[in-house]
Amino acid sequence: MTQLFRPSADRALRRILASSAFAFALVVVTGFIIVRSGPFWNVGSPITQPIPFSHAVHAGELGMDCRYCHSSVEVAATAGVPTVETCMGCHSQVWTAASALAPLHASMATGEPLAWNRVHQLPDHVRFHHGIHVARGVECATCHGDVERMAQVRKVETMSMSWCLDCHWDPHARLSSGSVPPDRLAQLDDCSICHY
Amino acid sequence: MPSERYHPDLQSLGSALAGGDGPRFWRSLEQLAASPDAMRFLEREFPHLGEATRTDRRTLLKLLGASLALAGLTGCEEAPTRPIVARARSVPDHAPGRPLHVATTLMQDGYGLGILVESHGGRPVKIEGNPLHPASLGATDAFAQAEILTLHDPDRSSLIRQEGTPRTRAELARMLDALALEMEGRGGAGLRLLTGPTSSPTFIALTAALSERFPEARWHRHAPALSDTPYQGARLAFGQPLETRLDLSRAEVILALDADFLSQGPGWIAHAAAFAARRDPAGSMNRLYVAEPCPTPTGTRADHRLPLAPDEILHLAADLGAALGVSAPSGGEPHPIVPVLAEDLRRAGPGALVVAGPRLPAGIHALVHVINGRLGAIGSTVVHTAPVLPVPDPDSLAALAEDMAAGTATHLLILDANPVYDAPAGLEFAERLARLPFSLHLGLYEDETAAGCRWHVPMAHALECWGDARAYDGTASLMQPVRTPRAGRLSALELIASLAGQEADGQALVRERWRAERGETGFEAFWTQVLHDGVVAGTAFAPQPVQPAPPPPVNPAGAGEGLRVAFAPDPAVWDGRYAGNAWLQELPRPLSKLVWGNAVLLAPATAARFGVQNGDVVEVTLAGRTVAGPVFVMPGHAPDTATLPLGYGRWRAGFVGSGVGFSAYALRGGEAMWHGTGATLRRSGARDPLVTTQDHHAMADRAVVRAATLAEFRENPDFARAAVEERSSFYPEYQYEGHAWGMAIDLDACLGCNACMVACQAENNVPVVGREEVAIGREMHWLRVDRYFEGPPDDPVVHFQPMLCMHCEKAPCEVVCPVNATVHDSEGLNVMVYNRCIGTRYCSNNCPYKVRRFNWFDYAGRGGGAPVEVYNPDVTVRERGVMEKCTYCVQRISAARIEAKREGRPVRDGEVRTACQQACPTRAITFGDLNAPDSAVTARKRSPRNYGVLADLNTQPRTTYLARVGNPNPDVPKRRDGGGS
Repeated sequence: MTQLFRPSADRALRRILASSAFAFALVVVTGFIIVRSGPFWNVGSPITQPIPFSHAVHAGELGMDCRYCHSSVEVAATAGVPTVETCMGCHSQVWTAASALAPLHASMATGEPLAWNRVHQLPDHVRFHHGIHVARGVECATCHGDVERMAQVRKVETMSMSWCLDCHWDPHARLSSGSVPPDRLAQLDDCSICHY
Repeated sequence: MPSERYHPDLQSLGSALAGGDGPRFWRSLEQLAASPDAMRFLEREFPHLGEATRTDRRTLLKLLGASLALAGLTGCEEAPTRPIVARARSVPDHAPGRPLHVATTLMQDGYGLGILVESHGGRPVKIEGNPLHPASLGATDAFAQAEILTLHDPDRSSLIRQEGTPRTRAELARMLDALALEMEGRGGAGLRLLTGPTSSPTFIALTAALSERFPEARWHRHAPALSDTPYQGARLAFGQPLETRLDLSRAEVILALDADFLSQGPGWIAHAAAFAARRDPAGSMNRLYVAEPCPTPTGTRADHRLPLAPDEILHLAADLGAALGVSAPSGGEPHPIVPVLAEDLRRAGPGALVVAGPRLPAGIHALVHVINGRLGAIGSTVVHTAPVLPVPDPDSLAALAEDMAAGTATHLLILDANPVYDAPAGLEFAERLARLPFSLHLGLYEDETAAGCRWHVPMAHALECWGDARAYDGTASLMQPVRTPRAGRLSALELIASLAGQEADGQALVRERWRAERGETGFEAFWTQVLHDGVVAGTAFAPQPVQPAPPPPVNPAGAGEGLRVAFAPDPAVWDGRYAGNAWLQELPRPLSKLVWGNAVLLAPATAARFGVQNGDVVEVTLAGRTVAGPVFVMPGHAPDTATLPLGYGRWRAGFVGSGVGFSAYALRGGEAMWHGTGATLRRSGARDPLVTTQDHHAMADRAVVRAATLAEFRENPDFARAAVEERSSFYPEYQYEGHAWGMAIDLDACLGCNACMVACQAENNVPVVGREEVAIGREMHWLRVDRYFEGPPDDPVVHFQPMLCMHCEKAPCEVVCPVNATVHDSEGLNVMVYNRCIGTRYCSNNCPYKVRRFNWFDYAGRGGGAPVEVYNPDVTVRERGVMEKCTYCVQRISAARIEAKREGRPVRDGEVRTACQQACPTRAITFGDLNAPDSAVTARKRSPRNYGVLADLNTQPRTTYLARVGNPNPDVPKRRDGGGS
């Protein structure tokens, strides 16, 4: 009976299988590298704001404490941004004529809220609580980096789940003081800590 | 959906049950008869699957391949970055991100219920009871829980309209000024005010100011769900109308005559709490006798229940009075229970209590006052105080309608009432209203009455306006806004004030009125204290010493030919005001488990006599008026009586409520507001399939409910724990070093009131699925209250059992999830991780309790879900394709744990309360830390009555139940067929 396939078909098939296996592996590895890279998570790209607020000036040069503005970081899930009234505490007297601060004065006059562009956003299925992290001794710079040296705030960490778990699996390695009692470690990698 | 007619042989069913053959607990007649519909729900959790589409194998494989290929792409949608919005002004003493709790009051049929409202960022999301308020004691009812949805309802009106044209607030003010000027000219002749019932001291003071300015103006009251006979009965007995206040904490033997005092009426939460507190099988147990035509939650708590028609109840009252020597007998054959009942009440003395329901005629109320006086109950279990509501003139609405027809009432203001829909039939209210030169309607919705009035003004909801109210015992409390109302919305106070010539500022009006009462000194401190507490301390009305006069003779009209008809407000939509509230429409009614509609409730024997089954449309004719509606066969209903729930058949109730059910108001004439006789019933031949959840999520005949009498319990305290061997499991044991959460539910205390169901829905963003989806068993309630009957169909005992996720130690659902979306956490919870779930539904398949709910469609999401403002931000809103279930309110556990860790202390017992636990009036649900030896839940679980449902499956549920113990009177003659009484 005549063969349907010529002998070279075997070689061709093996080459196709090998190259598709290699291509698949390449896709997987490339994808893996891309997804774990900083730029994929917007790490390092500064975000422009409606008012060019500089943390370098306020938190760096003037030495203001983070909590003066982000006042609910110790008690609530969100750290919050300062109300316009908080900004006006100084800016009703300082830099009053600056055109960059016009949105502040407008908001104070009308009561209209001021919208800032978010730099750190976690997906909806994650519930993050600032208060408990601060209570356990996690410093602001641990996750947000050297904000007091940033003229425009940018992400310095990916804030991916694996990055969170790096600490949650072994907090003692990351925290300066031993503020987490050992017997509580079992809880920190429960799904229900962050996802409920 | 019950689409096929079946014919259960009730005679043989009844005798089989009496003979001990057949299940001890059954869920419905359909289940007893093993009708095809019931069996569908028993055999498969989702019976419709596979029935709708029949595909061949090739198509199925194609579809599978396509879904696999597309499966990965659903995660590719990236959420847009949201801005962070900074407020302009800081709020003093309030950290953004933490919820605010505000104490305020809801007015229910005029009586105040104190509540605490949890508000996130200025948006109210959850209502809880106010522990300091006597009508709440920390709990709420289903209506209070659902008010959040009414507050945020997009169907609420938002525009002032005159004959349909939108008007501004200024134009309204000008119109009211012109009206006031015109009225002043003629002393107010023709000016009429029609309101619902109200106990608000400020409102009453304003109406006084109004009548000062317009002496000829009149105030009429219309309350479709309230009866005037309690006040009238008090007037007959005591010479003046008085409020009758019960004190269940001292009651040992209670007789309720057509009185659903444990789940309806002013102060019912306090009554239920006190009643449940006195039912302790290990201590002293009270005893409850109930005589009622239609089963109610109070009837289910009865140790002896008598299904009697309304006129038979009058007979019973008269015969009881005769047995106690205070009145003449009824003249008919007394019920066999009367001598034993009289003896039991007499023995209890000051611990006895006879309660007359509001729907009974005034003469019976007077008789009951005399009976209570003879027993020594007055001053002990029942006291009489000044009336909480202003006593209206009798037939207030009828008088108004007559004046409207005669032309003496020309300018009508209707505040928070809907007479075009619910006025008694025969008044022709709508026609008379249309002929008035001026009419104004103030209401939450543009409803039936708004369509009939010339002006419509949107009303501010109780949660967004200032006011005050009195509770059932007279305690005053203030109403303060939890959020500012949208522009254009007025409260009733403000409207009346502007007509009376005062400033339309709710806060100023309420302050003024209380300043007049309290005086100037220390007023600011008083004001702040009262707003903080939610109650004005020390304002309960004092009991008045009374001596009942001899009662008028009771002359119950003979039953005569024909059916008796009883009207009752619906347990979910009440008098129709909540018809537009989707949570309440989808809430299964306690006894019938009907949703999205009402039915003509008939006893099994009566239904058999007329040859009707569930879903058959019948025409009920009473006094020349006819109404058509589907039948629901209600086991335990009094024979030859039909109950028609009010509140349905609305035609302008918004997107949700219009066209649902039939209106019983069309049959309800002024001469027979609650009970009618001489009605006829006729099968019309049409079918209107009802939707009821009574057969959903059934667990066949397994002993899920356990009950015994007190004698049986004393003889065998461990009756509830059927011998369950400790079986080993190859799954590892969990070690709980921290908290180990658990729950215990007392079946003796559960009333089936459904407050827990709506509380869970509000707290956890549980979606509403609509009528068709509920019919195929897809209702999304995380917590359901199953209802079981025990005994013969015409007089069964009813048990309720709340069913929620058991958070099993050896959970069958955890081990079958292919993606590990449901896991056991280190505090004992069975956690559901929504973002991992891919919707295989294997977990739900494995769950023996059928407590898992699947999002078949995007119920909660875009287009068709609840308004976004209603959602609790602490709980994820689930998308299509994701499984959900009770989480033991993990968001509350998390918040309490974080709070405790921040403050460096352990979580206290009682600090974490699940939504269902917090809402329950009788404290049936206890939740807490099983690792704490002194926690309430550990104590409950130590009780010999404690058992786990389906424990023989070795699931080791963390939610266990306390078996029910009844306290029947051993002297009561037993029925031959082993019936409930």
